[in-house]
Amino acid sequence: MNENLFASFITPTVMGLPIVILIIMFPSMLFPAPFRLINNRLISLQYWLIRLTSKQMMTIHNHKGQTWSLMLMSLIMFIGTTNLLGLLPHSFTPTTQLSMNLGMAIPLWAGTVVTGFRNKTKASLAHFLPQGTPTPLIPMLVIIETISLFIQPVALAVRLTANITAGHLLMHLIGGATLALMSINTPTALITFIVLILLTILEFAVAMIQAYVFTLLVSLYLHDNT
Amino acid sequence: MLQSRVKNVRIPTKPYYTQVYQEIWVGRRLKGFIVYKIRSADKKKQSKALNASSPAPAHGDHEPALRGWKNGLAGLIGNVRHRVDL
Repeated sequence: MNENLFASFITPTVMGLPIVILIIMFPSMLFPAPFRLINNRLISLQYWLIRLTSKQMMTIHNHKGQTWSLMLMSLIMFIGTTNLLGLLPHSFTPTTQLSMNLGMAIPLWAGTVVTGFRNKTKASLAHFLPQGTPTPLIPMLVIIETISLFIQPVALAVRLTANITAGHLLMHLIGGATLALMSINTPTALITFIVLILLTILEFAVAMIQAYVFTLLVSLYLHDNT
Repeated sequence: MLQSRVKNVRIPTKPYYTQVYQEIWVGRRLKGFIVYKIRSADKKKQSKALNASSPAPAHGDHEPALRGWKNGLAGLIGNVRHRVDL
């Protein structure tokens, strides 16, 4: 049972060859590019969705921040699709791997910090000290703010990893419990099955929310620095 | 197909890669540096453990880490060669 529980998080190989890169590239095939003046329904729906998300997320930024729209929209679409595809049975979710999430979080966070230092150095450095701080507290607060700055990419990555991994593990456990209880005590198995259905609905929501939270936080870090 | 891809994707996204994402490339280099440090530390730890467990290394028994895709590929090529010989 223990071996099976973590089997879905092992990087998949086919005859010894890793196919992780193919799995990561797969969601991009699900988004067709618009190629006509008036497209078909699927592409129009996709276009409407991206417009809605980009308007909601990018209106707070100035001109410099809005040059990151393509990056942030690609990010939210990628993470959202990957998380939702991971809810299919026997599929592998790349966002359960901390390595991948750190690989997304560190360049983006570092990009926002370097943008801030490059364009508005004084304002970026001023973020290390909140307004209205009493003078004796200044050294300690600068240290705390520096630590909180360096924790940001780690928090971004670990938040996404932990949420998705925990959800998948929980579904696996409760599904196993339902199966085991069916021969022992059927009413309890029914209750466990209802819990599983509710959990699946929660996981659908969590998949989309986590994508939104990741992108929103990167957007906020960008807003602080542009 | 490649020409249309270059015309429709690569040329419009060129200013992004050259100007907008400059800071992200810096972040990517930082990430690559961190990955390099972690991998080299892991290799050092593995070689230390190997030296500690077998002080007289046997011939041909060097890399326990030669598993995974390299071994799989070697196995495939080995199979092909055997079939050709027969």
